[in-house]
Amino acid sequence: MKKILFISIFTATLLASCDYESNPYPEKNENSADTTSCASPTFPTVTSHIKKILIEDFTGHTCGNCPRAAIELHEIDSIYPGHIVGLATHVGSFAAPTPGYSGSPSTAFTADYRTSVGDEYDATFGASDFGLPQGMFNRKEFDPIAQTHLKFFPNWKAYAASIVSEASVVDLQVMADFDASTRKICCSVKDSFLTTMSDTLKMVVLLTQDSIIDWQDYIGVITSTYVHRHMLRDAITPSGAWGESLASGAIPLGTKHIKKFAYTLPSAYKSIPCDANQCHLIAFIYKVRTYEIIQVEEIKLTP
Amino acid sequence: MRKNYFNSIRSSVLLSGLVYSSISVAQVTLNNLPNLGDVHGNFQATAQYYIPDSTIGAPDVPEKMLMNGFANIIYTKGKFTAGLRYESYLNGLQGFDARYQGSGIQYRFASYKSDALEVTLGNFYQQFGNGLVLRSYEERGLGFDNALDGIRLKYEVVKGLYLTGLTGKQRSFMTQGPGIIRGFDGEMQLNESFKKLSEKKLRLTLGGSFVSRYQKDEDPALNLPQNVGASAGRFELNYLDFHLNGEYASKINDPNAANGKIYRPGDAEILLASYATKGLAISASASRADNMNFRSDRDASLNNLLLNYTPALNKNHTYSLLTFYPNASQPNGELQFSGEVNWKVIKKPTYKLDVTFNYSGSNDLDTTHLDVATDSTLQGYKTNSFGMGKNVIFRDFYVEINQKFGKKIKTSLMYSYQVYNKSIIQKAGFPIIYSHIVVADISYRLKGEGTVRVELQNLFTEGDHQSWAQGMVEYTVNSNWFVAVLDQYNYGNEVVEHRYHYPNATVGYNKNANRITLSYGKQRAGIFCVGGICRLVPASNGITLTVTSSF
Repeated sequence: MKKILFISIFTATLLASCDYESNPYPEKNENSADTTSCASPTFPTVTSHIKKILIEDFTGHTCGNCPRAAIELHEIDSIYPGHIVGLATHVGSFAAPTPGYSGSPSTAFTADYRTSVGDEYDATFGASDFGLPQGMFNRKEFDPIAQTHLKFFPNWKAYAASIVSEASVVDLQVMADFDASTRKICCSVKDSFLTTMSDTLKMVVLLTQDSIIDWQDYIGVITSTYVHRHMLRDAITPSGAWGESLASGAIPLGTKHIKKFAYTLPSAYKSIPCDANQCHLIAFIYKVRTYEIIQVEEIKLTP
Repeated sequence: MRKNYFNSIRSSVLLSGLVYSSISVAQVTLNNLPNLGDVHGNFQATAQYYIPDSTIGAPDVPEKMLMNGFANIIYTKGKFTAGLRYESYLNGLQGFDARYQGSGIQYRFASYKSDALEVTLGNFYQQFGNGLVLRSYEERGLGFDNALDGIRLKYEVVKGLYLTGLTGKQRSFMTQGPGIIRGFDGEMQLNESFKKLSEKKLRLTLGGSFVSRYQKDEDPALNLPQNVGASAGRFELNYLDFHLNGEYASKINDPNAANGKIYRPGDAEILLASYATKGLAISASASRADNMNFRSDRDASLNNLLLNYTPALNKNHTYSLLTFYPNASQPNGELQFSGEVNWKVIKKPTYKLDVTFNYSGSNDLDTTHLDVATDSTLQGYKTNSFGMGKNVIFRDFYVEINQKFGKKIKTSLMYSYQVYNKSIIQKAGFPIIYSHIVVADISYRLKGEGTVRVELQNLFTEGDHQSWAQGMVEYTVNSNWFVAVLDQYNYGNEVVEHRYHYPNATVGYNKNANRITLSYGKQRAGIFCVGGICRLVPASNGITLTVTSSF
């Protein structure tokens, strides 16, 4: 027994750990567009600041318990209106196309809602390895000893309650223009630091699509009319999932940046049509060292 | 079984906590009581008072006095061992990295050996094979310490088959590096494992190891591999008086500060052969390293956070002028060789003569740098052949003649011709230095306990700061006291005003396990190396007091 335990632990380290990089340079977002023709919007003056919470819900259509987490997320949203930004990231084998899943027709469960951006988050945070559903709250670790950012849904309300009153450290505003004919999105993000800090920060802008009606294993019962909310579709930021460098070192109070991003919205992602009227943009700033998100903002793409 | 295993870990942790909290009491009381375990350890402190001296370039030290000190305290009881090392740098001596500053317990561990399993928690040192993929060690004189902090398990699966697994972070001065290290090593001593082989004259050991570093990719411009693995395979063979040891190691893409962030994989090879019979020893060795700089922080530089070690194969010298231009191993790219013959020619009670010849050296690799514009996968360079490049890094042709006349007189005569490529070993932009060094060391035993030893050294070179001479007289009064005076003189410096003397006088006292030395003098700026790992020492002028003690 001892031998087996010992050998298996260290075989695991052997298998752990080699990342071969065939391309040294990060892949550019293929839908990225040129920002030169994008207008510079005027951002309104904001006097009251709320620190919002990005709740990331790692999910999948054949994951029977996942709708429980989605319900939890929306309950939290109704407890703290205006404080919560939801993001559903479909990952792992539960999100794989499974035609005819659990006695459904062969045309059911065929969609693949997984994205390269979501896969990168999953690879980093290990959600699908842990088992779904899993959630993250501003990517805070909370308990550093646990060494995971992932939080199991029965505890979600407590995590939200513990950070909902945190003071805002940066004012974040997002504005976007969508040209329906060319499907080009011009997105401008303004940040303004409300406190002095010292860190390395990056900014990410994600695109979500809301209210996609499709199949879902709903707590053991399959349904064709499940409403998939705020589903991650892609990153708008040209460097993708981990975004663009924003600041490094000492960041004095009052530091401001305005970043512009342009993106051509595809008519469909993996044959699932993308209706611009269902789309939202989520911008957030995170600490590179810990992944912790210090502010997040969401807007609807079209008025 | 599983429960017992974790219980034993838990009990080790608890015990170690107890030991740490009551160690000062333990030293006094435990040794006097039976069966409560043993406490032993050692202490060393070096304090130097600095006098600024602009002529030799000795800087003005604002603190005037600096001190390095440490004490090891080890507690053992049966299968259980725990220990700690307290270190103090207030502030660190000149020549040690300025990041050695402050005091604290920088090394602590607890270990427990239960039958075939040994568990270590806390700090530990570990080397796999020749160190090509992992060598965690301490070289106090260099200010080098890359101890790991984590958990290590050693297990003898069957007789002769040893497995070691570890995980930890590496020490970086008074903190830790960012990388997480996972390592595994297996070694099989075939003659122990198989009964049939136990009596054979051919002794064979096989081994393999794997080490991986995890470090987060925070570079927006590059896709950096977060997990970098290095693996190695080795053998060791003994047959009668022959000994052969070989190892091959490779490392996957590891763009780092030392290799200019290139993605080329690395590899290293080493082969050591020796033959020893009565009065004669012959050894030959060769090694090659290609992009094998492996650290637990890809951004680390100099000697900080080195994970592996590519041995320098040249002859290790101890006399100052022989180590004036010391070789340093070049893990980024070199081919080394070394051959040595040691022959005890005459061995009579009235006269002994033995001679040593050594020839060693290294060259760079035969490579072509790739054009940055077309090198889309950032490979950096390609090797044209497995062999040597055109640039000599180091050469040392060395002869040593030792004679002993009766019981009173001992002499050593040495000659060395060295070639030192300062541009590769230190920094670019210097011509190659060619030097001839002769050393004579004569010691004469006086009546009673005393011994007088005289050292005369001369280094002839037209390069760098030209020729140097050194003379030293050491008088060992008895087993307690010794005094020594020496002078190093840059007599050949082409700038006549720079022909400085570096005198030094030392007095030392030994008694049992305690040793105190006091010295006053000047020291030139230079490089100090141990095993091919070097540090720069600035010039200094002042008084140094060293106290060492063990219990």
